[in-house]
Amino acid sequence: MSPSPRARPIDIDTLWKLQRVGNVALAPDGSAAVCSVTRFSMDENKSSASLWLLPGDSCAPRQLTRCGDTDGKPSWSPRGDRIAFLARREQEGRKDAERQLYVIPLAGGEAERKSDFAPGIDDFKWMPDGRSIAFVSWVWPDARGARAQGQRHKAFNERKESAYVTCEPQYRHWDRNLPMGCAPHLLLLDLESGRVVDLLEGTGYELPRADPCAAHFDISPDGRRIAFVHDPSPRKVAGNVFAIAEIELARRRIKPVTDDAAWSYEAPRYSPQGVLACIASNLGKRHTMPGRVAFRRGGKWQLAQMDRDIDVEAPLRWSRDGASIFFTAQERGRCHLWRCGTESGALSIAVAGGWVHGFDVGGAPGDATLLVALDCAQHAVQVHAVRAGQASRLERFNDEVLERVALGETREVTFRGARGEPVQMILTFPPGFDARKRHPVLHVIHGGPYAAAGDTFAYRWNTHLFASRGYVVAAVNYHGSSGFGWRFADSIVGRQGRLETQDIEAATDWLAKQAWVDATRLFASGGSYGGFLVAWMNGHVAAGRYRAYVCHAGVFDRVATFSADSYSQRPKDLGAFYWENPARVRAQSPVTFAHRMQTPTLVMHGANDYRVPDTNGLAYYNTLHARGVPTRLVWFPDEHHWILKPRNSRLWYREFLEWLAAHAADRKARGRG
Amino acid sequence: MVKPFTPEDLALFQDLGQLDVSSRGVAACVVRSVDMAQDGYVSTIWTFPLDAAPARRFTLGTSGENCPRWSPDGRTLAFVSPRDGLPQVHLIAADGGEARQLSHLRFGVGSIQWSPDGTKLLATCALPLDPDSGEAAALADEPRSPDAPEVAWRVPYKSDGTGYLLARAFHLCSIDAATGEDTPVTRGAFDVMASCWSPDSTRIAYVRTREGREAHRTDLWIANADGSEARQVTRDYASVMSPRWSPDGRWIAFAAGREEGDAQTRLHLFEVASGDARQLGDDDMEVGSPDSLQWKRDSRAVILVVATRARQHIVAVSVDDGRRRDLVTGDRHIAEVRATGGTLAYFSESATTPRELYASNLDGTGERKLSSLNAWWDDRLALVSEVRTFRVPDGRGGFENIDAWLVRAKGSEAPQPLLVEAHGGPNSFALLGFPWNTYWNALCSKGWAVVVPHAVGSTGFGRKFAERLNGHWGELDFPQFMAVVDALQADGIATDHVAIAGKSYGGYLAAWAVGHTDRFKAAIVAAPVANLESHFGTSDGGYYSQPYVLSAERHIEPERYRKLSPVNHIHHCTTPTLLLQGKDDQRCPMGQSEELFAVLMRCGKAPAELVLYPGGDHHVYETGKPSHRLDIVRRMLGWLERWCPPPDRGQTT
Repeated sequence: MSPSPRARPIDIDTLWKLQRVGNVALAPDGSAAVCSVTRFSMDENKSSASLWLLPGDSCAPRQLTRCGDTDGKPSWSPRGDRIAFLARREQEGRKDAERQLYVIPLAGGEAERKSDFAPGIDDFKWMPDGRSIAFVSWVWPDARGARAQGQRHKAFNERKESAYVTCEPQYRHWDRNLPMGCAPHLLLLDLESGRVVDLLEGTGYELPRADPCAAHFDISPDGRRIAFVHDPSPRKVAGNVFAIAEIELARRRIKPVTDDAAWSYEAPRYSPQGVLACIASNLGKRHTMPGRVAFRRGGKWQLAQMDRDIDVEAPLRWSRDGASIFFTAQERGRCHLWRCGTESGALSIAVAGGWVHGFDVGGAPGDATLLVALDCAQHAVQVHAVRAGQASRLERFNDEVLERVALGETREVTFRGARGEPVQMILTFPPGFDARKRHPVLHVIHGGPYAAAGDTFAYRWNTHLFASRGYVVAAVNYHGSSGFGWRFADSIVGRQGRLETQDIEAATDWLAKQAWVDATRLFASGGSYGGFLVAWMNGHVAAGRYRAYVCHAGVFDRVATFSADSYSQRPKDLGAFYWENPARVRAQSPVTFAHRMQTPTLVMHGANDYRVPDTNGLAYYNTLHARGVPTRLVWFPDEHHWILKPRNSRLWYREFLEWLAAHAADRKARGRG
Repeated sequence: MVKPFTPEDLALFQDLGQLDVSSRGVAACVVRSVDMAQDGYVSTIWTFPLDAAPARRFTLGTSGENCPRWSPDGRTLAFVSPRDGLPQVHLIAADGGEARQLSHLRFGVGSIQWSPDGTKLLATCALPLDPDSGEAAALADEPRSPDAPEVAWRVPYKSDGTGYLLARAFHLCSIDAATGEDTPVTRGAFDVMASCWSPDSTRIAYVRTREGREAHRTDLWIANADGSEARQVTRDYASVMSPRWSPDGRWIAFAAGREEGDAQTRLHLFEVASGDARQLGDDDMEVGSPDSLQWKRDSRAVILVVATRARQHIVAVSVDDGRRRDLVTGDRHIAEVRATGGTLAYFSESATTPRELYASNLDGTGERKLSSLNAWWDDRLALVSEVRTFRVPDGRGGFENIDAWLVRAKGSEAPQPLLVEAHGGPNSFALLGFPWNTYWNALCSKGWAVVVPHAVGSTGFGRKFAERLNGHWGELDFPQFMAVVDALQADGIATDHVAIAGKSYGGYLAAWAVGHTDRFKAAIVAAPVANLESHFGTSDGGYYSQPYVLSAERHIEPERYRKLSPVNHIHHCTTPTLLLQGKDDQRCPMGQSEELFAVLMRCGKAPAELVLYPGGDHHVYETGKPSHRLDIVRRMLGWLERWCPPPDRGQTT
């Protein structure tokens, strides 16, 4: 797609005009797809998600649902005549308090509410007979039956006390407390009668507590068994090793199907022929170990002999004939859809990224169709169907908006970073980049650290938006980043901050040598782990090297961050509990180096951030203030780790850009390249 | 297992209405179910492919879906729904996907009709008026507050179910089917009551009220589609209803009543070119449902539902000679009909079967049932009904035959206690919908028989039969009722446990009866006309209908008004009498019941009770709050069991 001559650099409002495509699902016969499309209103500061049917065959997409604004997770019925989805709606005078299941017939008519389960439905899969669904819900483990669940739910919601009381080691996730006193269970809903049966009631089993979802279970093709992921440890805590058990539906008997306590088994998936696959990682050996595909054959698990050092992501999906299994995995700043031969283990890229955000596999065995939702640095997510190697695009949701936008080029650069190893950097140039002019540089440092900057189109930290103000934007895949093999990711454990900063500094050195870089106007910004790194840099990089930093939701104090939802994971990254080896933890904590911090920093944080609690941002801001370093705080009372509301996002970008602009214009603050 | 009918069954009943059939052969209608939890109703649109593919609940928005109308190509269904507050036009694809809002009219939409070319929708909208602007009909900026003063400067100024009329006007507007943009079509000091498109979509015909003191009369008008060049084309009818332009453009068929106050409705034909209007069909052919009027595709006949001898049938009336051909008949009521291609789709109901959707060939053969929304009925004690003929006094010293429905449980053993039901009107006939007669079913299950005489004054038996009652309410028909009771007792069908019940005019007759006889062991008087003098001025239509039905003007012959008023005879009453009354009934206002009750309490010794239903209008019994309806049926059964207990309990009064 080439921009029209009237194209202009992207601005914040245009970014929010883009429709975000997600939850792609392919009809069982591969003939059509459904997806969810979220649109935003900057005026109303609201989002609205509805389902669209993508008929393929060059027919225009059709909006399928319009009666709600939270329609998501569409799933085709086994016969392809209905689509079930989750929504909170008002129907027949009743408003859903929690998400319920709705079913819309493809042949015509509106979606009908099919569940009335008080705790709501978090995720689901169709049973093969199309008459019921298996679903995930947070239930009261000691209440028996849907009625009792409803009573407990009502009583809890109507209580006057607001306190959260728990003995659980894992009780909050991301931006919310886990439902107090509840456990995630697997249940069955009969669509005709609305009757709900809790498959785990009274068994002591529960699904993983962090975002329990449909990837945590799978239904055998004959509908007789369900394999599900659970945490076998009595002490459920993030980072535990997971196991898979199988429930035999007729007798409601549960038996384990994994037996190696050193390995974590996740994302079970039955082949159409009934072979169970999963993602297994040897977490007992090292918490950074990658996910690998495993098959259960003859009662034993066998790892697919894959010849690439990639980290397999959930979900897995089988081809109809059971000869291949598909999944996404990152490689060098891209996320591809991979095909793995189930016998040979031979790996190939089925659909190359950019970045594949979602996919589905369907169609007849001889006429397999792949559906992918993928983006790249140059466009937002598009939906493609790939049949016999031929890709056809199914929608044009954002073409009209993007045609009016000029996006700068992106370029991949490899330089020598820490330990003399090659490190990847992705540069985004301003539209109409003129190499004869000198440009200011902005580092956008990704979070994680086990993540990567890549060939993708972001809504938060959109590099084009920064570049549109004249910056060359540098995104370094520093040591620790995902997609560069296990050793690279694991290299930073126990010494966080050190190699990463060396990488970024090496990148800056490389940049400063380019004729098109104004080495006196360098900036660095980052969120989460990237925020940690800019705070770290403030205490380690010579003052004046960067004119200013932007630190969003950054880790400032390692000890205080033991309040995070992920507190049980971090000691593994740091190589110690802070009470066992305080010096080691202190050495990886920016707060330790506060006395050296001199570079002006914009600090931004959301109050509902349980991943990096906002005390980090506040302490950082207070510290800089106390030290007389220019700083500014943007604190969002109603946002979490990410800033997701349109108006808040606009403010975030504006504050970010104005902070850079103010310091770029400050002649006194001469940088040293 | 077979169960008895109970009052609670009313919550199970799903009512069907507002039928439309697409050119692709798919019926759409509104299904209304009871929501006891909310004490209200839920209306959704269902579709029924005429080829018997599975029925489908088509809309599931909020709860108030209305007026489903297929686009001419059958690909889109338009309907009216208050999904976003005000009722607005929504469009939903026939082949998948949810509805989107099309119109954004400031004050919402009433009913809608597609232009035959499918590009526009003609909508009736209620626009707020400043009631103090009188004839100037100045539009108001905002809808009026319910607490605002209600000024009247003409009649009618109120209407049952709607209330005050002078703060709003019904007008047509045209809505672009693609953009939803709306443009006004009519404006002025009148209300548009009904409308239709010319087949080429260039013109519209509509029925509107007259201005000023004749606002109770309606005429047929024709205008260009944008409302320009409007001209009145009928003048001689008191009321015009349901205009339908013929496919060849030559005719406009409509239903009309000639004289003010005459409730009888005949089929008429307007010839567009000549401007002539004439009646089509003989003078005894009573239109059963004006809404049912429609043209056969060849423009040579009008298909409609007629009321005939207590039944409602589908007939085709030839334009050439006015000859009527019966299409769908039987001991039942056809409520609505749509003819499409070679198929008739219609609702059918009777005293023994609930309303469901049926289809047949155009000639009525090959009938099949398309809906089964009231399958619960099949588990109930079956009912049998028959039309029985009775020889009764004709009021002129001779005798005549009248028909009556006799409804009983299947296999019931005679003699039985008997409820005599007097239908409303009086120029009407017994309606057979379950919501109207929930207590019949429950009574039959308890061993009662129900008889509903169609005494003189009933319509559907010829114009003369209906008109003979004018000026003789009670005097002519009450003796016929008693003759029916005599005959049923003589025939061993009824015991001497006989009660009488009636609503509206039926309430009049029941009140009249207990003022004139002691034969009834109990009486139920609902929403009655009790005092014709006060009813004249306080009913929304009293001033309009009474001079006709009493053959007397109130100020000229007040004695007749007095003589025929049950309130002036009720002091003779010895019958335990239950009065049921909607408090906001504007047709037979609360005062009518109150007057009867005061006399019963002060002058009589018979037990009596008055039950008022807050917010209830004239139709609280059929369409009111479910809790009210349930209370009504329970009280009726309770009253009858208390004062007219079944013999097997060994009690007599």
